[in-house]
Amino acid sequence: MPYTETRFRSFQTLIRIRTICLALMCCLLMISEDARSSPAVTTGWELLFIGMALSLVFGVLGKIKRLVPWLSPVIFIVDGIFVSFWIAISGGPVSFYVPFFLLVLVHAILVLQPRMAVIVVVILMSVFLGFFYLDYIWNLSNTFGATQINIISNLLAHSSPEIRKSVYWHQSLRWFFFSILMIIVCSIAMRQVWVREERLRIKERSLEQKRHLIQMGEMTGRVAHGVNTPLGLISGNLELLIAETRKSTKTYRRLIQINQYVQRAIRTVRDILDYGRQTMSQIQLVSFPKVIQAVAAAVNPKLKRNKSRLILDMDSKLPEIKGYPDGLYQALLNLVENAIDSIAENGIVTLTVRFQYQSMRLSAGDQRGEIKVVVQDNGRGISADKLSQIFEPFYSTKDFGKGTGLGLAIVKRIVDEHNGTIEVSSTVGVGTVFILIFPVEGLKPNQTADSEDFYYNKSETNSKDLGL
Amino acid sequence: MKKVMKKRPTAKTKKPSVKIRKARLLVVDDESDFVTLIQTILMQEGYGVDTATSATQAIALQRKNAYDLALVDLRMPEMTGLELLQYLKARDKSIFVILMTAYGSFSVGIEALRRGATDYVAKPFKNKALKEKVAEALSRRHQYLEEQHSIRHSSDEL
Repeated sequence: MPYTETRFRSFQTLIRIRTICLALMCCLLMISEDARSSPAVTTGWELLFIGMALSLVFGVLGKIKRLVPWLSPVIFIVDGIFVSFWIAISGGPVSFYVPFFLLVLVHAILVLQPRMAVIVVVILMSVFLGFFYLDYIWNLSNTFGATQINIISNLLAHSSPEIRKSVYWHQSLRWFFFSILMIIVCSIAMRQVWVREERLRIKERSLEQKRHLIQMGEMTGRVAHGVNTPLGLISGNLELLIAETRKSTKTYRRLIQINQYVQRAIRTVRDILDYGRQTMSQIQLVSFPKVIQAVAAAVNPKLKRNKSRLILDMDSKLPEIKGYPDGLYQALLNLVENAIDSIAENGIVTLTVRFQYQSMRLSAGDQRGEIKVVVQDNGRGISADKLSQIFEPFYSTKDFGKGTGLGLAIVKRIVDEHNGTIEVSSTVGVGTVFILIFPVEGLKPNQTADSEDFYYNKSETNSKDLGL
Repeated sequence: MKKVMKKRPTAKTKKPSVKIRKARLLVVDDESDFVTLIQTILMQEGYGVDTATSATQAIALQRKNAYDLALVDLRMPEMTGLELLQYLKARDKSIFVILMTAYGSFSVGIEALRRGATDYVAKPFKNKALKEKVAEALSRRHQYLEEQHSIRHSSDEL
């Protein structure tokens, strides 16, 4: 992944810059050494060595790529505490904060984004200035002035151990709180990083999926053209041939048999293409009434052949759903066609579409809702042991050759793509109910079920085989 | 909205009037065998069928003859079916067009209808289905022409 690679390189740079910052601190310590030249400040050197050692450890650990994303926040936080205590214990100078800020800034630019870097630095600066101000109004001590610290250090060096101890204790406590603040700030910043990283990962994954889909779409398109054209020619000529052949001859029977198999091939190819097509179209706002009208128009011939009825029961106001019109059409068509296949003559298929607010509403103004689609039939029903398998690809309860076993797998996939859920319940001899739930943003006042601009309303006889 | 599916009016599709029988059709597809097949199927129904294997050929034919209905393949080398559809429609408003495609989907169908196609068939189709679609399109064209005529008639009266 290119992202991790970048992160890895930026981490290596971070370690290097950290070392430079420590070296800078070393120089500052040397400069201030003269001013202090007291036994009280020698601890600064020891701490500096610890810092260098830490840098070394981080450098070694940073070789393990897996650890890198975790190491950078750790360094960030550890350095914050480290520098705070260092200044507190060594007694200054406060200019040590300059390299620390430099470190923070570099870290923020490399690991976070430049925008985040500015935010982090602003927060740190305001905390710092806040301390200045508190110091000023409470007149506690001049912790933040370098000169004062030097004076304090000199004073401390010459004062009694008890006083020195109490002052150290006092200062350490103060810096301890400062460190805690720093940790909070760093944690917030890191949380942002993690959130962004997660988002990036998701984006990358979806990009990958999209690329895959495009390839898949190209392939299915080519297969469709390459297979459907010859199949069309074969079946067309075959039908002509059958019409020309006298019935009750051997040839006629053979041709009929060929035709059956050709039709089966056509059905299989169509189902595989539907399964492989997924979502070629862009996500757009889909109006449910339009899709349902199209489905109703498409199944009309089949209904008449079966002498059955399809009852549509739609809410007058339905919000539009963000999704793939092809997919939704396909899913509902498959369900309704299955329902019609399962019912005997004079059966009834009911297609209900309802809008409801989500059962768990956060507030009264929460507009999130869901569209509930129920496809119910009074057909044969599915036995309980088969019910768990029906959404699996290539599982079919229909007679051999009648179904490819992809229909419900396609439905499941499409429902998943719309973040929806599908449930099925069935009683043998009574019928089957499919309940689909699609989450929607909510109902806008201007969204109604009117679909006058829609072509299918003009004539129901139109487009009976549309899309298949 | 409670609605029970209405029965389709099929009387016209089953028994096309004499006027419709004499209709002239144009079939456009880059696959010459396919064009011949459709020609054979539709000639059996008594239509006059001309064929073209490219968009330019189709346009040239349209210049010479007036067609009632064109069956156009969606995917062709020079010009897509949708473009040809618009071209044909621009030259002759009364021409009805059925689009054919090997790779159909709901949105392609919508797009075709939006651009002025009368209907849409997905390959491979059954011969009977094609005949029905053609008959239906022609009867709709017939209705359309009558409406146009009555509109003109009433505007003349005014």
